[in-house]
Order: sequence, then structure tokens, then C-alpha cells
Amino acid sequence: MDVLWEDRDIRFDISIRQMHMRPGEQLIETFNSVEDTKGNNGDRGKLSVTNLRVIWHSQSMPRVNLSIGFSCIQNVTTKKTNSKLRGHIEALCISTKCNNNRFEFIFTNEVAETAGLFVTVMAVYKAYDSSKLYRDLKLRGAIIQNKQLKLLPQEQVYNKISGVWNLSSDQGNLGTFIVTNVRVVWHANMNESFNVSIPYLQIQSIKVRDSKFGFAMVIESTWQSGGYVLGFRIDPVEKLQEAAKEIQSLHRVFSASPFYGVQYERAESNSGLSSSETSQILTEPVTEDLDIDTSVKSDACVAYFADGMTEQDKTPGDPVFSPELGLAIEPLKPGYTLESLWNIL
Amino acid sequence: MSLFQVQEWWRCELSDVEECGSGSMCVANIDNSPDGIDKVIVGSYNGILHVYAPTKDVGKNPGQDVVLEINLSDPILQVLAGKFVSVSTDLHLAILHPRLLSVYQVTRSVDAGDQGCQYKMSKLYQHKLERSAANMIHGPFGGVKDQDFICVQSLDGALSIFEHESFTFTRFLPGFLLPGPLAYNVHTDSYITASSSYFLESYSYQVLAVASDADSKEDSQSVYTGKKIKADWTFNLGSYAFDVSVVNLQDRGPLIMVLCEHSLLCLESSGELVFMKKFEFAVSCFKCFPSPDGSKVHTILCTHSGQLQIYEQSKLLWAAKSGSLPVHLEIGRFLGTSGIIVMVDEGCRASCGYLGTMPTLFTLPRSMHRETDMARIDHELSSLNEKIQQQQQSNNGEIVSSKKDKEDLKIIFSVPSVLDKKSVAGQHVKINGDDLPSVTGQVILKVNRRITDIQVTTPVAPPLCSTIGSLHIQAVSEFEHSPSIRPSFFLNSYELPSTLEQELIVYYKPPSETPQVLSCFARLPLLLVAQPCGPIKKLEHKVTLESNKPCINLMELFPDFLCADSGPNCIGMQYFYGAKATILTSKSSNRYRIQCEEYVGLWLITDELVHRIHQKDGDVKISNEEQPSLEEYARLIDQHFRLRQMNEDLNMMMEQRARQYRTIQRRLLTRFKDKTPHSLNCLDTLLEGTHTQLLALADAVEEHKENMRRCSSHLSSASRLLVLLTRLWKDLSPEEEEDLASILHLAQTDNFSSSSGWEEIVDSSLTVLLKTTLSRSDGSMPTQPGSGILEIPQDTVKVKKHLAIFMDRLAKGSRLNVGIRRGDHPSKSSRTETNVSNPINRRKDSTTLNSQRVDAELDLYKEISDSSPPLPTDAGIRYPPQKMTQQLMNGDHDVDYETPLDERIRSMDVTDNVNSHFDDDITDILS
Repeated sequence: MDVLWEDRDIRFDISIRQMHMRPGEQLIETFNSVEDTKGNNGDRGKLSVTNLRVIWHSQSMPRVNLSIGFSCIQNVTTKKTNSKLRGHIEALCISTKCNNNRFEFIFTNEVAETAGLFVTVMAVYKAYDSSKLYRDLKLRGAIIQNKQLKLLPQEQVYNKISGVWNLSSDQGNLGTFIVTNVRVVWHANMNESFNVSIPYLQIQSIKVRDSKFGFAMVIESTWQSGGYVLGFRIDPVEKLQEAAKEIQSLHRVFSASPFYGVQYERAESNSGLSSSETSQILTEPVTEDLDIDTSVKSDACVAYFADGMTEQDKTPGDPVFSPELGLAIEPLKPGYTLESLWNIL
Repeated sequence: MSLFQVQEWWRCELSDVEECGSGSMCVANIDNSPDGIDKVIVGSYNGILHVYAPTKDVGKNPGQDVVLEINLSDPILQVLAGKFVSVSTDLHLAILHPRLLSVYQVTRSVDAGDQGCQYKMSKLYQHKLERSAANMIHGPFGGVKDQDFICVQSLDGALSIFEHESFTFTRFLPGFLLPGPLAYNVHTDSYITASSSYFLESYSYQVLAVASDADSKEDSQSVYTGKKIKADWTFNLGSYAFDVSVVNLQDRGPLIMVLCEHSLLCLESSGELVFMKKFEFAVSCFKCFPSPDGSKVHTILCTHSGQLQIYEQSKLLWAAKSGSLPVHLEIGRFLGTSGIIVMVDEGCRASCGYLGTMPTLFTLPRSMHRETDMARIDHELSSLNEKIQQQQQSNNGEIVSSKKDKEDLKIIFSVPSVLDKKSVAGQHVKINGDDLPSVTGQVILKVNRRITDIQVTTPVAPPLCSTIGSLHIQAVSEFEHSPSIRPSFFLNSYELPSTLEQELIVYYKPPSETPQVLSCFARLPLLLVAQPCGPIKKLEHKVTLESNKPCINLMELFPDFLCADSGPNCIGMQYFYGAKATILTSKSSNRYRIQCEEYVGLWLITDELVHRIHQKDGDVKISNEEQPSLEEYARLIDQHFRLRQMNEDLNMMMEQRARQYRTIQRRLLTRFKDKTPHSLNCLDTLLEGTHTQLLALADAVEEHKENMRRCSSHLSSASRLLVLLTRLWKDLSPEEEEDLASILHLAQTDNFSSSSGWEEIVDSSLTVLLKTTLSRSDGSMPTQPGSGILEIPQDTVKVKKHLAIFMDRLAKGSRLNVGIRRGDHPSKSSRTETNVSNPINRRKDSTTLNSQRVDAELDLYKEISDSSPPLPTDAGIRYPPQKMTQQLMNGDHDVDYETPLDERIRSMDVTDNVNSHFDDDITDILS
């Protein structure tokens, strides 16, 4: 399975294959005739909200599409815009940030009843935003209280393994493993706030390896979560093997059917998509089997930049202290002073 | 939209939805690490305390920036960092819950690696609060050194002072309604708060401390009464104050900064106003700090539109747009850079940023993939403009019928070479037309867009007849089946038509509303007028043509005229009106001989022969060695002239009789009107007699007209033959042939209503031609446009003579090079042409203007007009459409005559399309 990017990235003009739901991704709602007011004004399209992302694609040209991962979204608001299809209208405005680029997306629902679009996107975004522990590695989080793991909704504790040494420091830290259906949590017995929560989603591999501390279980996290290598030791080795096996199998099970923790219940269940309908949507565009040549870098994104183009070569230097302002500023170009810049205005 | 942006340097990742407000954040080196790097401490109303150590590369190591995250269960109202422990000068963290004030120590175990570094927060002491807290401040109350005490303001207006682990006292503020912002001024050791009555009030710590009732010793916060406390000073803000802050300047001591809804105030610690700045926007929060040199106070102000404004005193220094809307601002020092702005929004998202100095004008960059290429479009536009300009120049700015217009309609007019199986002539013509054949052509109108008012006409040369005189179609659009019209052509009497070239004219209105005319020609089969017949060796009139190739087998050439007696060298045919004709070819030389019983019959056969030979073999060159004989032609002219004269006589007579009739009528009327009746005096008999005479004369005129028409047709045939033979004789170019045709006024038909007849028109044309192009002396002397009046000549001697001279000149090698003027030399030659081939136009000019210019041409006509009385100039000069057409077709439109012709006719229409409506218009204007 390829790396989870659906919720972490904003992609433009993706291939059909990328538009398909990944395992565990669920189509929550589809809105027909939604206009991408910013990038494709006047073009009717289809907006799908899944538990990981918002997908919009043009109805006339399905290769013109967007995929906005929820994790990139900074803000979801409504805004008055001018749509070619509908004129002045309240639109859904999604401001995002992805790889130092700020994008802004505006979607207009052509159907008069637009509230559904806002409600769905906002609610799913909220649900996504408040369930990050399902998907993100967390260090030193407030996840343990009174020696008890604060369980996430739909989380079940499978096992509790005490006497687990964290091998991050030289002398090691004695703590406890809590294995659940979505993650592995270790916390120090002495300090509750010294803990780590590793969702299976972010686990790259679980191995038993020889180390300078003897045999240890090594959990590697994905590069997305920082590529941590966490070593744990359990005595005796049999117990370690057993624990590793358990976590490995749970990881395998989870990978087969991931669970992202985004829970959203539609208010009106009658209009919900039946499973057959969902699968129909998923398998709808199968005509294109060959992959689109992605060697040509699409610059479809430019239409969505929220502020001026951040030039690729313009990697803002480290901030410097400005004695005039008493604050940190972006380094000035040679020959410019703050005053001269300010006086332009 | 601001020109500058706040560059985000770090941003925290939240795993849950939380909420916080003003005071929920503080920035301090709370773990007292030796590197002095600040931490960001955020406490949320959800009771979760976050401690972050912002790092730049958050993306690479997510979760690394979180130092500590603890759920404290109780809502966190405010966090403060200060020296809250008596035995240490380290920073400790004070956390205000609604009913609890706790002080924590945050420590880091230094042994660990990156992900293993371990922070620990331990509670040092706490105070249970009797009253619900609103906010707190810390400071060295009472002038204590290197210590910070805490003052908590409760929701009901009590200030409680805590000196580390011990509670000191509680005092009520006077006139309290709702808690306002609180600040401590070290310099004067006093608390500054904004009351609900919009006053800024200062209370000295000393005053508060000593204001206790002497009798009751205080040991708890639960006091209900108190001595009335008086403020040191008050200042009327007149507005609700969001925040109060005290800034200690090195140079001039402390300044009190107050942020109101729409203003920023600066006061001395004594309560005097230093400055005030009013805003037109709503502000959300502010942070004041002394300038680096310590002389001025700087303020970061955040507006509700997310803009950060930096003020030096009251002067705006900088502004930058922030992505979020902070509720609390702090300034911190991270990774060696001080002056980093730390913001937290109401969703508890903390972020660090610095002020951008790169102006970002918001211009959407163009995408190369989805958007069209501007340069390419520009290029296309300029090339199109160029094309348009060229087009305009080449047409001298005239509006030309664009290609598109022309393509509105495409006519396909085809006439088969075989006759109809069952002739339709009988259905239309009464005179024993059973044996007259007919041929049915096909007209297909192909339209590209909807056109309306379509009129299809087939002007026929009598005695040819067409089943459709004029056909009107309402509208045709490109979606409909293209209408197919099938006109049939046949003779309506046993006579000879002057030509078998059938024209078809289509008039229509395109959507652009400017009517358009299109015309096309088709050749009717010879079988329509003649039938096969045995060849006759010797016939009276003949024409001999030479060919540069051996003669073609006539049986192949005329397969439709084969009969028993015809052979490869001779073929015979008979016109339906009786005249027989034969074509013979010479076996030894490449000669064709056409002979016919009548001179006029030669034309159609000769024309057909030449046409078929050319069709058969395009390379064959046919020529005529002899000078065309004018003998028969002259006879026809004479005959035509005689008929015209007779016509004149008849008309004259009819006029007399009519006058007579009217006179008698008048007489008779007076007779009848007379009161005393008289006898009619045989006037009635006279009237009746005159009437009979009139009717007889009318009949005669009618009959004469028929003769005249026939004769005209014959003359036309003969003229055509003459043109053809001259062409073959002198090998004229198509232009020259056209000129000659116009000179000989080919389309001569019966023009009874016109006073100017064929003879005078041809004569005047010839005269001018002889005087100019064909004159012996260089000949191109410019002649003035004439205003002569064409009169019916006395006899045909002159025209015949001119014709003979003309032929002579041609024989001597002169060329009819009038054709040069077509566009190349507009100035001189156009004038020449005007005189040569447009005498009608010229004359029309003179009649409409009635100008009396004397010139060579006029002189010429004077001879004529001297001899015969001139007719009134306006005596109904009417031009039958065909004649007009002919003129126009040859006309050069640079001519400056004053008729609206050139305004109406576009050059293309004139040469290509002739249109009956249009002709009608002209006639109306002229008459």
C-alpha cells in the first residue's frame, strides 16, 4: 500500500486511480453541479467529500480535478463570491496550507439549497480535526490520566504490557505498553506526560532486533510522522517476542482495513448513498487504464494561490531582528530600508 | 489586502478542538533552560495545558515541538510565568482556574535524546479561591526584590493578593460591576484597571494593604465588607477597555497603554494623557513593548481583519497581513532571534511569525496548462488585424462582400444534354407544340445559413420559354433539405432564339439584411431548337473555320444529330422553324464549314460547333481566316431599321388618331352638354370610325412588335455571330471580346418603349471607339464626356459605314485594347472606357443633370439632331433590365456619374450578379 497522502496533500489534476478511494476511505457525500469558482469558474463539476479529503472534478473534463486533504485545511468559511454559473452567491471558502503554499478554494453549489455543502464539509472537517490521534503520532501528549489511557471513541484496549523499557535514553525508562485496535501507546510509569502514541497508520515496521541493550522491539514510524525509530525492551525475550507478534498482527489487520477515526453521521439517512451506489461511484471511471504522464508538472495550482505567488526560489531566509521595529522581520534586500519600503505605500 | 504578509515560522498541531481567550498564553523560558529559548505556554478552556518549544522544521519531525501536554481537568483562565517561589529566582508557571490558583515547576531531564527528552511538571503549591476568578497579574508588589506576587481579580470585584504560598489580603474595588483588564505599575506600585463606568482607575498597593478594618484581623479571602477605597486617580476613557498594559521605558519611566474598542491611549503613570490614537477599524488585541533604544513605546495591534500594525507611539511603522485572527499576542525569542511575534487564536492554535518585507502584490499567476497563452493570442490578433487592413486597402476601403457572405448560398444549375422524354411544351403553349421538345434543368440551392426572401428567375431569350418565370421561396435554412427547382425550357413558337446560354438569377436576403444576388449560366442543348436532318451539300450562307488540328469526326461531335445520311464529314440539322443547316468538314484540310439556309441560323450552330470542339479537345485552336462579312449583317440592320421606322410611323399615326379621337370626343361632349339640343352632326359616326381605326392601328402595332421582336432576335444572333467570328478572326482576348460585345450591344431585344434604338447606340459607341482607341493618330486623346442625345438616325448608312471602318481598322491590325483600363491605369483609361463602352451611362448623366456641355461627342450628335427634331430629353428614357445589365456589366465603376448606382452596386455584384429587383430600382430612379 502506498503512503497515505489523501488527507495530507493538495493535488491537482490527479489520475483516475488517485481519485479512487483508498482502503478505509469512505465517501460521505457527493454534490453534483458544484462549481470551482476560483480555478474553473463556469465549469460544472462534482464535489465529493470523503472522510479524508474533498475531491472536485469537472464534469466535462474529469481530468481537471482537485483533491484537498483535510489535514491541509486551515479554515472553512462561507464567503460571498461571484460565480459565472450563479452570479453573486454565498460560497464555500476553504483556506489551506500545503508545503509552504497557501491555497484558497471556493466552491459554489449550483443548487439553491447550499447549506448542505457547507454543513457537510465543515462537519467532516471538524470530525477530522478532532480525531488526529487516530492518524498522527503524538509525543508527550495529554493522553494518559491517572495511569489510564484516555480512550478515543471506538477504541478498544486489547492488551496492557507492563515492564516495558523505552530505550531512548541511556538508562532507559520503565513504562507500560497499551495496545489498542488503532494504536500502540507507551508511557513512563514515573511521568505520565512522557509518552508516545503511535497509530498503526504511522507504523512503518515492527521488528525484533539485537541492540546494545540486548533484544529489543523496534517500531519505525513513517517518514510523514518523522521517521522515528523507537526501541522497547521487555524481559524476558519470550514476552518480547509475544508482544511484538501481537502488535505485528494487529498492524497487519489494521493495514488491511484501516480506520481513520473520522466519524460523521448524516442527519438525513434516507438520502444517503447505498453501498452499491458508493461502489458504483468508485468504479465509475474505469475507462482509463493507462496512467497519465505525470512527468509534466501541472501548474494548475496557480489559480488557487491565496496570496501572491510564492516563488519557488524565494525561500524566505531566517528572520532577523529589526531595531527599528523591535521585532523580527524577513531579511531586507540590500539597499532597502524599512522606511523606504514603507514609504512606497 | 495588505502589501506585506506575516511570514509564518511555526505553527502548532492540535489533536483536539480546544478554545481559549485573551490571557491564555504566555511566552517564557519556563523550563529555565540555559539556552534561554522561550517556550510557548497555552492553556485552553478545555483544561489542557500545552507547552511548545517552537522549531523551524516542524514538517520533518512532527510532534517534536510539543514539550508538554497535560490535562488539568479544570478550565485554564490564564497562565503567567514569574518568580513565584521564594527560594528561587527561576521562572515558574502560575495557572489560574476558576476556583484555583496553582503554581507549577516545569523541568527537563537533560539526559535524553531527541524524542526521549522528558519534561515534567510538578505542582509546587496552590490556592483555593473563594470567589470565581476573572484574571490575575503578577509583580513585585510592595517593592519586593526578585520576587513576583500574584493578584487575582474575582468576578465580583475583589482583589486577592497572594505572596507565594501565603494569602495576604482581599480588597473590594469601589463601584464595581464587571471585571476589567488589570495591570500593575511597578513604578508607582499600583494596580490599574478599567471599570465598567469606562474609567481607568489606579489603586495603590499601599492603600489597598492598609485599608483593612482595624478590628478584624484578616486571615481568609472570605470578606464581605471593607473600608471604602479611594482610587489614586481616574481617567475617563469613555469607552470599554479591552486591555491595559504598563511599559517601562528606560528613558522616561513607565507609560500606561490602554486599548479601547476603537482607540489606543497612552497615559503617564500619574494619569495624564500622553497621546491617543483613534482607529476606524475594530481591534482584537495588542502588545506593547519598549523600543530597543528604550525611548519610545511600540505597539503591535491586531485588527479584526487579521492585520498586524506596528506603531511607534502613535505613528504607524509597518503593517502586515496575518493568516489567522489572534486573540493574544506575545513577543518571544526563539533560536537566537528575538522579536518573534507569537499569536494564539481562539481555537488555541499558537503560531510564531515575523513580519514579511517582500511586497506581495496579489496577482494571480497564469497557468500555462489550463489558461490560454497570452502571447499566442496577441500574435493571432495582430495577424488578423493585418489581414483586415490588407483587405481594406485592396478594396480602397469599400465594404466588400466577405467570403462568408458569398458562401451563404451556392447555386448548382445544370441542364442535361438530353431532352425530356415527354415534352412539357404542350402543356404550356397552345400552338401545335406537340412536336416541340423541352429540356428540364435542375437548380439546387445550397445554403450555409438561413436566408430569406429567395427569388429565382430565369430570363429567357424569346421564343424560348421557361416553366418558372420567377419563383419565390420564403426562407431556406441550412438544416432543411436544400430546395430543388426543376425549370423546363422549350420554344413557344417556331422561331429562333438569339442564344442558348440560359441565365439563372437568384436574389436573396441573408441574415445581414443586405440583399444579395447571384447568377449562373447553363447551356441549353441545341436539340431544343433543331432536329437532325439529312445534310445538304450546298446552302446559301456559310462560315468556314480553320483548325490547327485535323477535323474531328462530326459523328462523334454531334452524336445527337445523327441520321441516316450523315457521315463523319457531314452532318445536317433543321431548325424547327424550317431552316436547314449542315456542317461539313474537309478531308484534306483542317476546315469546318457551317452552312445554313438563313444567315441568322448560322450563329447557334457555329457557336455550338466551336463550343463542342473546345469541349472535346481544349488544345484545338479554331480560327477564321476571312474578315467576317458584313453584307448579311447590313441587311439585317436595314431590316431592323425599317421596322423601327415603321414602328415610329405607326406610333405617329396612332398618336394622330388618338388626338383625333379626343377632339371628336370633346366636340361630342359639348354637343351633349349644350342646353339646346342639336343634331350630332355625324360626330358619333366619326368617333366610331376613329375608334375602329385606333383599334386597327393598335393591332398593327401589336403585330409589328412581334415582327420587331423577331427581327431584334435575329439581329442579336447576327451580332453574336459577328463577335464570334471577329474573335476567331483576330484572336481577341476575352476582355476584347467582351468589349466588342458591349459595343455591338448584344442583348439587343425589343425596346419599343425606349426612344434610343440599337442603331444609334452602336453607332455612337463605334464613333467614339474610332475616334479614340482605333483612331489612326495615336488615338487616346481624352474626350470630354458628352451630353448628346441619341436620336433615331435618318438611315443606317452611317452605322454601316462605321462598322465597315471598324472592321477595316481591325483588319489592319488595330487592337481593341480598351481592356487595359481594368484597374491598372485608373486615371486616363477609365475615362476612355467611359466614353467607349458607356455611352448610355454618359448620356444618362447628361439627362439627369441636364447639363449642356459641348464636346466632341456632342458635336457628333449635332449632325443627327440638326436633321431631325429632338425629342424631349426626358421623354421616358427607360432601359430594359437586360440592356442596363449589359451596360453595367461592362461599366467601369470609377465613373463619376451622379446616379446612385455606384453607391448601390458593389463591384462584385455588378460583374457577377444581375438582379431584377435592382434593375427595377434603377429604372424607377431614372424615370
